[in-house]
Amino acid sequence: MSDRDQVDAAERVVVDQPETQSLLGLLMRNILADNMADDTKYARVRDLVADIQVQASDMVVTLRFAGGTLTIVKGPSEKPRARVRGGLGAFLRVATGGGVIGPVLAGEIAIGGNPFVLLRLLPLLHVASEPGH
Amino acid sequence: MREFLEQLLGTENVLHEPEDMAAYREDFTEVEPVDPGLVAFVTKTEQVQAIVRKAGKQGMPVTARVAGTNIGGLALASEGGLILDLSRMNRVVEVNADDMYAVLEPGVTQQQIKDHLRENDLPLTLGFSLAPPYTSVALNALMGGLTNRSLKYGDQSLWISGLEVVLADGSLVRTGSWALSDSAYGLVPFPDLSGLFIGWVGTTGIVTKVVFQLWPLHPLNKRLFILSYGIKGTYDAMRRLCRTETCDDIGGLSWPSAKMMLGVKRPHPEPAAGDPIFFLYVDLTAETVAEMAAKEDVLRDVLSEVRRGGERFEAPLEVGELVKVNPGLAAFADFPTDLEFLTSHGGGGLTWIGTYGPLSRFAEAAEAGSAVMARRGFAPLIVSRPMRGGHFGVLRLISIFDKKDADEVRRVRELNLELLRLLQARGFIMYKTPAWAWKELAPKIDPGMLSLMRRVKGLLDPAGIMNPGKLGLD
Repeated sequence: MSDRDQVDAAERVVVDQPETQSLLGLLMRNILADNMADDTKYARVRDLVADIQVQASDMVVTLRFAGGTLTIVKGPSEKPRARVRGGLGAFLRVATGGGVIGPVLAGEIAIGGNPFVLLRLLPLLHVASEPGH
Repeated sequence: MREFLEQLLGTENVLHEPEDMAAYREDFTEVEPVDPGLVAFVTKTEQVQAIVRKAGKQGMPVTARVAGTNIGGLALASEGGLILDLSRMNRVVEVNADDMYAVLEPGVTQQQIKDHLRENDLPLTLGFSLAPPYTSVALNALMGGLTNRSLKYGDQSLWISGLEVVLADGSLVRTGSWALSDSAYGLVPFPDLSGLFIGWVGTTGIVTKVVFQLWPLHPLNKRLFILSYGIKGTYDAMRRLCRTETCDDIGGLSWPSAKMMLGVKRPHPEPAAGDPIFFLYVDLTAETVAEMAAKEDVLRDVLSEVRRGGERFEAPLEVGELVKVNPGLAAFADFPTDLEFLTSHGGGGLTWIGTYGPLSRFAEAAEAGSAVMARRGFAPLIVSRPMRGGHFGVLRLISIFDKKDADEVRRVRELNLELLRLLQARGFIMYKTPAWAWKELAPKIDPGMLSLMRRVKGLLDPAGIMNPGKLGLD
């Protein structure tokens, strides 16, 4: 990666107001940043403009895609294009390699809104095998 | 004194220039820095004896220390006094695997003993405190500190089965069975003279060897995290789990600790809406898979029982899975650990009101303490663990601050005073007590006990050279 790419990768995920950010947002930051540093995965969302609302138990964050950057914002979105809701344990299982279809069919994870937007998000939610690659 | 020390130890083992002694003049806390006069590195008991005799003749105060990380200024010298650095007195003198005890010099660190036992294939452990790996095992125990075996076995001082101590006149004593037997199996049947040196923060003698009882290390280990949405539920679960006698360790940590592990240097005093308020970590160990499964069943049953009372928890999560998601949580994956986030926040300041008290009052004390901390602009960082089967526990209200900001230092001193009074009013007692806190405690201590402490101190240190000013008795 060139120096320019390295700087870009570091700026692709931003946490809004970290001192007051939700625990969910902080937990998600690492996975999202590692995956967004992967140019192949990043290419799939670079042009995405959307709010995706994620709720784990009572914790709610909005993943705001715009201008090639993903900003993790505390709280719900006024106009989410997609929504994901479930227990924290279910999300962790998805993140650590479990598929998402099973938890959805079992009712552990509920999805709503534009499924195609969610499909673009999905690769960013798995723990990267080699971050930044 | 300097010439004497240099002749005894070699000039390379004596510090006298202020810039060389800078690391010894202050600690993490808001306690005022103190400039020592000399720092001496010792490696042998005979050196400690000679130095103490000389210091006694000259009336020079002596403060012994290893890492100096206690939160309370207890390892700071008296002005112009001598610091006896015991960090190089670090031999694992003996490990008796059959009778499960180890003889350690005071400089032996947590990581060192862990490595030693592992390298020698000994399935034994001393447990580990939350202090960094480079801190002294012995000094933690001598100050009544705890480890991740304290739920089962009490504070670490209870595992001491013998001491070797240099008294203020330079004489050497042994306590415990090894004063007579070739086996350092325990303290009984002698009167417990070890108690003259435990909890006295070096004001009655300098300990040069500690015999520790070791505990079995089981082959299967699991650490589980349970996010909790209420303080009451957290401590209800903690107390109920204690009664099942299935856990090796239980920790209750408030939400700022999770955020700090995840990279937020100074969390806001209020939690985010919807966030869990506490997390419990539970350590389970077992000899067999079936035993581990049975213990996990007990844990789930306890959580279900507490949930039926209206409390909310997430399902238990294995720490390994959490660390995969965010490596910042690795700080809690294995012990000993370095909770760097407590001091690497730029301001460098770390202080707490750390107390022991009755577990039945933890919820109320944690609620009240959290409210005070938030009102004063500090995130309510709380660490709590039950000890000795749940008879009591440790409740620490922790504050981080900027040591270079005089106003923040003032605010944290005011906060600590208010928290100390709040907890004391609820029956909690500060451990590893800083000198400033003794002024609050001493007037309330049973006069007979205080008088006896003064008499013991006077008997063992008539010249008053042993870490003076640290126990509120001077």
